[in-house]
Amino acid sequence: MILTATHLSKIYGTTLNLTKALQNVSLNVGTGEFLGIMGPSGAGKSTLLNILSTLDQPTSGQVWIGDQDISQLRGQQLASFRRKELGFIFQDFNLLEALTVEENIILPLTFNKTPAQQVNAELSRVTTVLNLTQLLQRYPAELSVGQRQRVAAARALVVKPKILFADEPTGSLDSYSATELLQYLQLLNQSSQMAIVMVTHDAFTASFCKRILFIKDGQIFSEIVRKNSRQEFFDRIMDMQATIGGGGKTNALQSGS
Amino acid sequence: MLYNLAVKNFKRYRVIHGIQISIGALAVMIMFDFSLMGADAKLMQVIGNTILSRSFLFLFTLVVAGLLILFSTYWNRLLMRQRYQEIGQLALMGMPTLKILLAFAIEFLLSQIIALGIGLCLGLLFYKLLVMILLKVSYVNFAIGFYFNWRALLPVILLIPILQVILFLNNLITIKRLSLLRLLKPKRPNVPEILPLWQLQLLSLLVLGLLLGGAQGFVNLFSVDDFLAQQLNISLVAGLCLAILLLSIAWILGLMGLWRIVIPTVILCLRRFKKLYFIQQRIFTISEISRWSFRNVKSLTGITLLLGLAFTFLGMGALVSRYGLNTIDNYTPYSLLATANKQVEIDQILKRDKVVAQVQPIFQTKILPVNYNLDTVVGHNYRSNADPSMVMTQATYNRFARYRGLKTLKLKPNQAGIIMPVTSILKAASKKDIAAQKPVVQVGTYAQLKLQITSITN
Repeated sequence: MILTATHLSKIYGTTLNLTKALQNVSLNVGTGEFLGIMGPSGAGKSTLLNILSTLDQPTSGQVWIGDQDISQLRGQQLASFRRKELGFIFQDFNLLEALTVEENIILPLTFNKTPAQQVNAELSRVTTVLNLTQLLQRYPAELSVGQRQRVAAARALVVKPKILFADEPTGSLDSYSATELLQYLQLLNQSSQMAIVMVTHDAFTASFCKRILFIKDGQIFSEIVRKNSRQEFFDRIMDMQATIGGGGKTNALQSGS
Repeated sequence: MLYNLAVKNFKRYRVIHGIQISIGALAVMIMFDFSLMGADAKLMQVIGNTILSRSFLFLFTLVVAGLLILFSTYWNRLLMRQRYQEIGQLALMGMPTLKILLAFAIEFLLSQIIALGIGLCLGLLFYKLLVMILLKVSYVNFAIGFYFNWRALLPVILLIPILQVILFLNNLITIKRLSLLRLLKPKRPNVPEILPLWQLQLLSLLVLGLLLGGAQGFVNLFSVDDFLAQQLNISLVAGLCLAILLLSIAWILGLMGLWRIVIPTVILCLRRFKKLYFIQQRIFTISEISRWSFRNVKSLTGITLLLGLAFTFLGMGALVSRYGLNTIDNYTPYSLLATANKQVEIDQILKRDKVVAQVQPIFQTKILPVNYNLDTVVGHNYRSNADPSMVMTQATYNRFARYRGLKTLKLKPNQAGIIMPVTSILKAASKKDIAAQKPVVQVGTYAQLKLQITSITN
């Protein structure tokens, strides 16, 4: 397992107004797995991702990435761990507008003090896979949203992270750009041992995953694993979404109608 | 890498840095000129005891430096808020906080160095002009040339590291206070609730009226304080304080309204003209200004408040020091205006009237200001705390007289005039007694603040 989380809880607010965002959540992510996290708004998807990705601390529980208990990491150690082991993609791309595409992509490597030759090799690797070779000297403002998200993905992948965390990566993209990005992610996931943990509310996006955890009211509600075609998996996701909302085949069968 | 990142960010945020550079350069120019004036020994010999003393110039320098620090801190905060996500992203990629702060510090240093350079050049260029204006309004004839002094440069240059340390600490506290999640959270535009356009236009007119009213009120401060004192049946001092308070409130509310109502309304009106609205252009166009000002309306209001307060207090200070003292009991100045060549004659008059005068050094001007204490005029039977430090030139007096609807002075080269304002201090005294002791001065009453002017001719 590349990631193990046990009994995670997250409580926000003060004594008088407590909000339980997560309650006793445990999960595992295998090496090279493509895990999706889905659920209705306010279910706790992003909170879970933030805790798993070291951006937030759980109120209780533990998260292990590889053989490292990340709750023990602080300051420079945590920054170094993030820099070397983890990759992030956000809905808002979070590119540095003042830097060119090339500078944005190699920035994490410069923090790692990677030798120039290796920087060039890594840059060439990710830009070829994500089809960004022609855009290296452009600024983010000159790119389409799809291209920007690919640059963000390239920046996350250039350090060869063990796990890539993606929070609604297709949220700002049109359907064509979203499909393109997801195909790239799927390709990278299959060609390397990198695990991907992706939060999404979109069934089509989730259908690219190998396994999906459904969260409701801060707890794991259900889990589905892809076995056959993506179309079949998509149908099951749709049904589970409807089930969480009170409808769907499962509820219909249980109620006998 | 840090330097490259800072330079690239500096270019990227050139508009915001440009505004900071402009204001910084202006402040540096003023600071440098005040500092030069204080260091100019010849100039201080002429104006040091009468118009602006060294300590006053030093105080002005400190005030300008303080305002620049306040403005830069606030502007830096605004810029940082714009860039929380960028800071969060750098931190997420593993850049140490200190390095992030250093990159920002280099960026601010660049704009401060440019502002310092421009400000110093402007200071040197405009020093002569500024001093000439000062001497002109003071009716002092003094040949002034270009002047430079290393000692004057020092406080201005010292300001940069002080400012850097303040901004660095401020940014450090800000970043340490915020979690990585908060930094990464996208900034949503703070769009105020939009009222119907006609209501906004009406409100804008009211705000502009308030600003105009405030400005006009400050110009006619004496009339306002008189009016308030009469209407509310309070003393003139209380009337003056109340007037300043009310006008300050009007001015500050007006400035707030300017950002929150008038400018958004103007932008909304301009938006109707599509030709002015180039949304895809990269230059700073209406659409960008619109989005930027809506997004930062609170910060801009804060800056306006700060500047508004600063200007209000500076203006009030100038007014109070120049004219206000005339209306405040216990601090009434007594001046005698005369041409320089009338000094002997004036001395004789003062001697005859048993007036002990403190004669100021002779100016190279038409006006010879002579101040004397009221105690010496009316004798020891009467109490007075009148401050004799105020110098009233003919021009100042005439300006004051016009506001008051009094007779103005037109002194010819061979004429002199005595101005004797009468205050409530004299109310207890018998007019006849005073008149007997001081025959050339008639006594009026404080409420009307009548000024008796006696012209002395050859």
